[in-house]
Amino acid sequence: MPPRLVWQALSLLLLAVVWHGAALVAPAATLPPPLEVGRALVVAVTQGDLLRHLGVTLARVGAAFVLSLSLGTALGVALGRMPLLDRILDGWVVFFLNLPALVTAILCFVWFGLGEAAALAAVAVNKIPSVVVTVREGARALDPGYDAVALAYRFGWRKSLVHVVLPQLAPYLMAAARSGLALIWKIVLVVELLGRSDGIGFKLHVFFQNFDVTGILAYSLAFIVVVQAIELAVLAPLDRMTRAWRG
Amino acid sequence: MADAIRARVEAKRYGGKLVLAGLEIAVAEGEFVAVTGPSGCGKSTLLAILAGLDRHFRGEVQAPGRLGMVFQEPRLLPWRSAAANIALAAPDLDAAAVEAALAAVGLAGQGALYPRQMSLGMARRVALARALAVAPDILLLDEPFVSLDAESADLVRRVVVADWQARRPTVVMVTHDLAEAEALAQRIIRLSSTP
Repeated sequence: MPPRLVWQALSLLLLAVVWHGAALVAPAATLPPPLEVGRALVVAVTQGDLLRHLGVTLARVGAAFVLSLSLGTALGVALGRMPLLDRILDGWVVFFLNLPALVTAILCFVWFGLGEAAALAAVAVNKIPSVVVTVREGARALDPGYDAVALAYRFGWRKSLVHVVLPQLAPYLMAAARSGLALIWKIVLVVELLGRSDGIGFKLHVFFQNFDVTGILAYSLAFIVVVQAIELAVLAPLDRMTRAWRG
Repeated sequence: MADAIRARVEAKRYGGKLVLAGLEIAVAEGEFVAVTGPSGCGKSTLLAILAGLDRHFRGEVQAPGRLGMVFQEPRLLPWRSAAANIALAAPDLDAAAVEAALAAVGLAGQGALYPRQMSLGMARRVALARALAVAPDILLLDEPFVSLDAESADLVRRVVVADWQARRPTVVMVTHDLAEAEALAQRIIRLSSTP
C-alpha cells in the first residue's frame, strides 16, 4: 500500500478513536459511538431505503455537476478571452459568488415550484460562478504562441479546442471539477432538505425531526464514502492522466 | 512568374510605437527571399503579418498558399509527442511519413519524445519537420538557425535548401545574419531600424 494511503487510513482510524472517546462522555442520544453508527449503516443498506435515496441524490449531484461544469466552463473561457465581456459581467460573477446557497434554493423553489428543475437550477446557480472564476484564470493564462501555431497550421476551431485550448485548461478544469464535486453535493443536500421528498437531504430532515442522530451520521457517512470513491476512482486518475505529459 | 505573396503595410504599431510603415513586398512563386535588419526593426512582426497571424495593422496581405512556419521558438505543443506535433499539423500523413519527416531532420526513431525531453536544437528540428511535413506552398522561417550548434545549423540549412530545390516553395526567411542571407536567398530585403 502506498505510504500516503497508509497515512490516510491511520488518520481516519484516529478520527474514529477520537469520536469514540467523545461518545463515551457525551449523552448517548446526541453522539452515538462509531460502531453503533456502522451497525445502523449496515441495516439502512440491507433493510432500509438508503440505496434508493443515495441513488436519487447522486443523480442530482451528477446532473448539477455536468450542468455547472459545462456552462461555467463556456462562460469562463468567454470571459477569459473577451476583456470587454469580462468587464461587463464581472459584477454579476461577484454578486452570484456571494449569494448564499440557501437563498438561491428558496428563491428557485418560490419562483419555479418544488420541482426537479428548480432544485437543479438552485445548485447550478450556486456552483457556476466559482467554475467561471477558476476557468477564467485558465483562459487568461492561455499561451498566444500556441494559438499562432493553430492558426498557422489551420487547425480550425474544433481541433484548436481539443489539442491546444483544453490541454492548457486541464489543470483549471480539474480544480473546478474537484472543488465542484465537494461543493455540489453539500448544496444538493440543502436543496433536498428544503424542497424535495426523496434523497439524502430529505432523509436527514426526517432524522432531524425525530432527533435521530445515529441515522443522520449513518446517512452522512454513506454519502461521504461514495463521494470519496468518486474522487479516488474517477477524478484522481483523470487528473493524473491530464498531467502525464509533464513527466 | 506570378506573385505568391503580396503585402502592403502602411502602418503597424505596438502600443503606439510605429514598428513598420510604408512597406510593400511582392515575392514570386518559388522565390527564396531573406529579410534582414537590426534587432527590433520588425522582421518577426512582418513574418507574422505575412502568415496572417497579426491582423492589427493598416494595409493588406495576399498569401493564399498552404503555409508552413518555423517560429523563432520551437512552439511545439508540450503535451504532444514529436510525432503527434507533426501529425497534428499534417493530418494527411501516416505514421511512416511522419517518421520520414523526423528522419529528414536527423531525428529518426525519436517520434515518441515529448518536447520537455528534447534539447532546444532537437525541438527546433522537429519544428522544421512540422513545417515541411505540410508540403507548404509558402515557407516562413523566423531565425531558423539561431541557438543551434554548428552541426545542427548545418543540417537544418541543408534540409531547407534541399526542400526548396526539390519542391520550389516560396520561402521568406527572417535572419539577423547577413552572411547567411546572402548564402541562401535569391533576394534580400533589408529593414531599417526606424520605419
